Amino acid sequence: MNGLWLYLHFPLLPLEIQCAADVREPSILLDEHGARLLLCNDAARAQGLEPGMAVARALSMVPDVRMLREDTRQAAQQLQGLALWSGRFSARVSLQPPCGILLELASMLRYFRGLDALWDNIQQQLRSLELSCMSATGHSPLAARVLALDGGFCAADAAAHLQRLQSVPIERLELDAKLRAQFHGLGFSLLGELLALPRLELAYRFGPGITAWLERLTGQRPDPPVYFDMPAVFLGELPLAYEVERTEALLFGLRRLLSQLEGFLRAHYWRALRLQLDLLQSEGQQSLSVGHASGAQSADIWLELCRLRLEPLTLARPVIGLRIEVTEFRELESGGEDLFSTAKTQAAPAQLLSRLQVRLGEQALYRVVPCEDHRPERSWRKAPLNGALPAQPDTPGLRPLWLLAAPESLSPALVKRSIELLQGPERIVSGWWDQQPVRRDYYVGRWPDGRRGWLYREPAGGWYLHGWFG
Amino acid sequence: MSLEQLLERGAVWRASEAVAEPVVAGLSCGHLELDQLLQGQGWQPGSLVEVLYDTEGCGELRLLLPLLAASQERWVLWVDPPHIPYAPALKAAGVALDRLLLVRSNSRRDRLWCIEQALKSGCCSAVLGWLGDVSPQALRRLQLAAAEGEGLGFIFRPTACKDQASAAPYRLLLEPDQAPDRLAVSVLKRRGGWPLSRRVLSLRQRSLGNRAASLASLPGASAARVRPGG
Repeated sequence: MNGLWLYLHFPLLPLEIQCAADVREPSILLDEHGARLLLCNDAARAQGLEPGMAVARALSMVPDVRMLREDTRQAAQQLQGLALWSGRFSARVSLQPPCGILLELASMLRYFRGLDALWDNIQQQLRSLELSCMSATGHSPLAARVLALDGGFCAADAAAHLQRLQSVPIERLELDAKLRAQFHGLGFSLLGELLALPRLELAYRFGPGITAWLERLTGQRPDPPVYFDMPAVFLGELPLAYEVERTEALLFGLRRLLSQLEGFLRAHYWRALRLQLDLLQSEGQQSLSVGHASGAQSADIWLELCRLRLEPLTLARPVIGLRIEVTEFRELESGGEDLFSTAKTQAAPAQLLSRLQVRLGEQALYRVVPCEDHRPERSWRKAPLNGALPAQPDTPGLRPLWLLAAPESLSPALVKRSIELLQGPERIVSGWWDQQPVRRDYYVGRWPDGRRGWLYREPAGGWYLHGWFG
Repeated sequence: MSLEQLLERGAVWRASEAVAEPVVAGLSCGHLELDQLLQGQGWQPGSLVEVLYDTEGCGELRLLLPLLAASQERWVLWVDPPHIPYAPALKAAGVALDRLLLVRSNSRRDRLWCIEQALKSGCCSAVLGWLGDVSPQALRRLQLAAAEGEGLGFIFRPTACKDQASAAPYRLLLEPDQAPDRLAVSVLKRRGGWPLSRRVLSLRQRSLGNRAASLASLPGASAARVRPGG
């Protein structure tokens, strides 16, 4: 079988998830005792720090370095988040703790129109994650991993991968340190030299473990990875390293969560209709609900909607974490939308409506429909944006285009003196059954300046203006 | 320097010699007499139309009704109308109520934002917005948004705003007329023409836009459209 795998190695993951927005500042990750450096970012390396160094020495070299504690639970959670994110590229994803994920690509090549297009797509999406990453393809899972750790590689066929594996230095291999020292002592420095040796001899001298490893590497021995099960619900959480007091500063972390959501949605062929965004605070949280009229997958669309929602918001307390939960899903209709065609014209109305709803509130947008009631103020009602309108009865008689929200009282003297009644009366008697009876004579009247209004007289003799023929 | 000398040097531009700009067919506003005042027999797409009037009831909606009734597919947005648009009357006028969307915003800032977004999106055939006193910059933004989305924006403002600068390519001042179904219109500004003084237009003479000529030549076609006046 011609397999093709992609290994993504995030060497600084435990560090970078904790210092999201400020990768330019030197930052280091300490081990569990707080004594030695586990990881350094590029800025720290540039100032001479390196993993394994004692904290005291590091502090003497760079006094203002940011020190972060290792948080294994959080790192594992973020690795799962990355697996969700990669759901957009492959349905078969395997977690390779602590810092890697493995994707099966062979079955996806046709869908993404070839390896080159897929590779470009992946690299582009990786850049938007803003995480350090080394990626490589491989004809076996282990080959992909070895090549990723060796700096990266991309090819489609097994021969090219075997060729490239020859030149991997043995010291980069994840083998037992003692074994590596033995190879070194024998004068071997490249993987190619090991591969050239007779396997039986190798097994006899170094134990069967090494031959099994080499066979997994070359693809001679099956090595199925354990696949990650996409969860059925999405719940993304991201702690922030800083306390954030302004909503704009939340967008960076939000983008990361929403791109995980996009991967999750693409893997399930779902679109999200409504998200709940929780801003976690030291005490309690603020929750926002954000909706999209027709449902969307794209992280960009959701980010814009969340931004609109966050803009007018004042934070009660500084935010220390973000959580996103999808509360409403819908299946992606087949043929309605696909990855390659941007159906802008169809998506645009839904986009616009969602944007307005998010900013102004759901109640601010509605449609109007006539309904069966003779009382003018009850012969219309609000209807929601989506779905077909109910049957619309015809109303007999001439009706104005504007209806006043509340009838306006007119003095009888004014009506008599200056309003010319053009049409009427139209008697409306109704509503005796629900305690809001109406008994009115409606007229069309002309005001002195020529405007036409809709006015009525009550049996008691009072006159009211109820509408304008706009 | 005399006028002749200036003319010889080509330093004076004469309106009579102006080369007519190619006329783009406009979107018929549905009223025969108003269409005839507009270049291209209608509103040019992608423009803002500023409608100035003082109080409701002078015909400000009837002016737009034929256009609104013609939009069956795309959305028509009404942003902060002063009263309730009365559904039974709109239905009787043939307006597609399933595509008519009302928006209630809380502040002037939201209102402008909402109109701008709707115009920009290009998915609304018309956006109607009731604005009071707004800055010329805000109107300019709306005009740019309308040009981007190639829709029509109708901005309703009080007549007190008539002396303010406005980026809208069309500005109409409406006044009620004594006769029903008539409306006094002063064109303060229009594309491809000079301002026009106050004139009374009939709202009954419906036009069919650019197809009017061919359809009107059929016997009985015009009779079906134009109701007897009076």
